Amino acid sequence: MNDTEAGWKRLADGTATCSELQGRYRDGNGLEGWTTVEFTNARVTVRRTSRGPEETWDGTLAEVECRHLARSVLDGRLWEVRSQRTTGVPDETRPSIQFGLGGEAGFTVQVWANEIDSLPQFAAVQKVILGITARVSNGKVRF
Amino acid sequence: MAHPDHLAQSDTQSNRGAKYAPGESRGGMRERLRSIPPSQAAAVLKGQANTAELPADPRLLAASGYAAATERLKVRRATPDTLEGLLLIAEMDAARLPAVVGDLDARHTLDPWLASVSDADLAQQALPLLRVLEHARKQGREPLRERAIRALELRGEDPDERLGTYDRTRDVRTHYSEELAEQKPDGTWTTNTYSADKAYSLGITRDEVVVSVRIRLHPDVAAGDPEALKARWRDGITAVWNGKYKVTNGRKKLPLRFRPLFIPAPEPRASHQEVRIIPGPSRSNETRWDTEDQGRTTAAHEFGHMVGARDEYSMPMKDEKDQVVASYDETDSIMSGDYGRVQPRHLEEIRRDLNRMRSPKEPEFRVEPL
Repeated sequence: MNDTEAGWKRLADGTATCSELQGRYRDGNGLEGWTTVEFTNARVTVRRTSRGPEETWDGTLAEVECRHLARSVLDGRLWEVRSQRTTGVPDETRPSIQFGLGGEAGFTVQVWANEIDSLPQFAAVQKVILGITARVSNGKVRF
Repeated sequence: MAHPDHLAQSDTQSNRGAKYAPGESRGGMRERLRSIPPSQAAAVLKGQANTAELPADPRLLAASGYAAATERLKVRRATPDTLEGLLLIAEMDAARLPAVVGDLDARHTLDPWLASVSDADLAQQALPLLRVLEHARKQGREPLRERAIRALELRGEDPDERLGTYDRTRDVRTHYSEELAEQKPDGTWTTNTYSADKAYSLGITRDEVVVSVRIRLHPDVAAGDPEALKARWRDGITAVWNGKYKVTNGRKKLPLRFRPLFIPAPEPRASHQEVRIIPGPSRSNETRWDTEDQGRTTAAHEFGHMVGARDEYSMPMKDEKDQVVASYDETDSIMSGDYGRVQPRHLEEIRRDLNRMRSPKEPEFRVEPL
């Protein structure tokens, strides 16, 4: 078991605290705007930008959400996921997930949106993040 | 719609006696249909009649629905005259019927029942659309012609191909790529590369230049009603792209018509593009459209890529060392995030391809506002 796996196992089984999690999810483009979700000190900040002013929502990362997120990262070994393409199709976004634990640099995974169906490990973590995003934004941000 | 063979079978099993009276000839049946009062016939064809009070044939029509009834007539090898005569009953004064039945090119024979028929009926091949189209074209009746064209296009059929009105056609497929700028969270800039195929058919008729894109749709499970999506996207795309520009070379002035033809996934017809329909709201791109995408914005933008137009948002601005330092968007452009208008530069690929189709002494085409 390497350090990354051990760290996520501690977060998943509750021996590490959720305040140790730092992360950022980002997806979008200049056509339809951007969604950014940040995890810091057991809090979640959701930002949505499009043509209008930026909208922001802030909330607590629930314990159950934190453990669920950690479990999905661990089960899918997200840190090992790699994109298979260097180019996208027009307007295809390139969602990225960046996570670190306890101040460590951690890892960043970035894939093309149309690849996600063939990358269930990424899809599973993205689904958990977007679930948290929808709750924190009162259903305003779902993708 | 059920297959005609199935309809023929059910006809034999349960409705045979309902259509013809014992010993009744086809001509006799037609006469009997013509004797239905127009008010009652209209209600029958619109499915509003109290069928218990009707004689056998109208009850069959009402029970089966308009489209199924016409299919039944086709299965029974009824002539087009029979079909159209039947339809005429809905709108015509009984006294005028003998004069108009059989005179199918007369203005009043087609329009009244076209006006009363729903778009769903048109889309279900319930009407002889090609005849309607020819009729409308001969008489210069644009709204009627556009309705028939729309109905054919929604079935994935190219009206000009079906009518044989193309003088010249050319199939085009070319790969292209573009580079867009992205600002990273730390404020630095990077670029992403996107690539696609420009693919369409160019057709020249006596009256216009047609750019047809056959788009095969692959619906995800539970991804909305494909027929409603096809109509929304087709109507939005044509509203944005059609009626705006013409090509001219001094000798000819031909309006540019854009024709998105959506083909259902199981059909083997060749396509230019493959698009997957995903549940919305979501993020769409050229090859994945979501069920909440609107025709005049996202679908019209993605259609632009299919005919070779490049994105006009997040375009990189570079310094003298060729480093990206910022990005910019065009305005009033369907290829930008403001989903504005089609601009002449979006038609440049088409103009080039069209000029490759010229006869040797024909001058070059240029694009001008219509």
